[in-house]
Amino acid sequence: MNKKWYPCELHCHTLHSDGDFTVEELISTAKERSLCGICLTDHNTMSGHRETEGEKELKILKGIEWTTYFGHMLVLDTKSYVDWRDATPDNIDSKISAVREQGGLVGIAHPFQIGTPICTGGHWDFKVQKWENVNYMEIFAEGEPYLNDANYKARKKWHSLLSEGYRITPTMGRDWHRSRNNLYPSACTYLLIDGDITAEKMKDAIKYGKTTVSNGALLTFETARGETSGDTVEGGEITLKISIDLSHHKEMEAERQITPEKILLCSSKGEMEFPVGESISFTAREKEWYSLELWGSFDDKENTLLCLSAPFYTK
Amino acid sequence: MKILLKKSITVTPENEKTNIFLPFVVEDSLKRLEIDYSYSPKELLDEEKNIRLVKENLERDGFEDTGDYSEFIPLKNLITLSLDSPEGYVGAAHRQAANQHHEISEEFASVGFDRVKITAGEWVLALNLHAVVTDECNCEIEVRGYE
Ligand SMILES: [Zn+2]
Ligand SMILES: [Zn+2]
Repeated sequence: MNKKWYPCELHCHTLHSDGDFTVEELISTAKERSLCGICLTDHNTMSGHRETEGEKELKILKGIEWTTYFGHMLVLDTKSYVDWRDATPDNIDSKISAVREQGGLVGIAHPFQIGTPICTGGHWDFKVQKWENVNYMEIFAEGEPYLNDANYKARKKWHSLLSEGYRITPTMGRDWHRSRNNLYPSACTYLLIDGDITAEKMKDAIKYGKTTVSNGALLTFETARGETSGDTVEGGEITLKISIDLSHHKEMEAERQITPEKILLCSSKGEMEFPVGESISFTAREKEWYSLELWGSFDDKENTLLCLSAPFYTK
Repeated sequence: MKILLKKSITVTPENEKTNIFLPFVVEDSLKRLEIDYSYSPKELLDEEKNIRLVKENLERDGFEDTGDYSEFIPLKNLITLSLDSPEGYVGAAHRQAANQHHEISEEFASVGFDRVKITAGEWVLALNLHAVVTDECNCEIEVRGYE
């Protein structure tokens, strides 16, 4: 077992929809950012995938962003195409089921973005009933890796779904369309992968909740048994070994400093605060979810959310 | 060259968030399709209506109304085009341009569309009405087939 957290960008566009990147430029820019994998998710088309075939170094998980009239839904790696055009607020569960039957993953993009007509379909208005079929949700959306209003609402919605028992993976989406005006170059979703990264393993990491949503800082944790995000552990006394890694951020952006200040342990019952240190210990309730957050300052932004982990669960 | 589809369609805000499917028939021996598509107007010029629609949009989606609408105005119509062959979905041109030209063949396809054989049978061009903010919007479509 040689598990590693790989920085990835899970939401990308090119000239095949409304991005400014050619596929080649997207790939080279992703490599400049030291990313190890991307999801190519152009609006309503998969035609960009043909241009990724020769790329061996950067791993590319093939997707599409269903850019519907009632929400934008990320769909990854289906065996055959499922149509986005007839999705409505009331039939979305069956559309999502159809994607899952084709082996695809379903993610909610920027759920609280503004919608039509300013940003058509950008606000999630679908009436999902079967949340168990939704794999992931963007918490840091539209490339803004902090709790702006929309991201705050996304985190709150996500917490309430976790508390209802749904295991939804959190992600960051840069919604990457072009190189220019990209602040926060080190912000990304980290995926926990055993051995070398492949597109298939990226998909599994998203499916099984092995993610960390990061503004550049990476907080990771494990129990004495090596359990972490996505795992189901015994309740009771738990000590988590904590590790904080700022190396990717420093490589991308030395001038803006990240200073971790506290760790929050979030669950259905609220938050517990811990100082930044090598470990945290607490009594875990049964049938609970626990997500770790790292808070601190980012450049001149004080007391901001730096990093958020996909939860681990208790039996 | 053969004209396979030629349509002029006027849509209104009532048609927003729907698709208009326009079937056309491809007979044997075609190698390539060309699509010319345009719609007009692109932008909403009525200042008062712009502000009214922006205010409604902000309120509906829970955004603060700061009174400064400059980043949203003028609002735009967005009517994209997507295409199906008898074999399935070929792609879409999801972008803001209101004048578009596309080519589809087995060897070459414009961005947004897969490279596919121009199979004989029923093809469908769809207009996807993401936003219709003007009282009327006129869409012009022409699909040509080449041997
Ligand atoms: Zn989107
Ligand atoms: Zn997007």
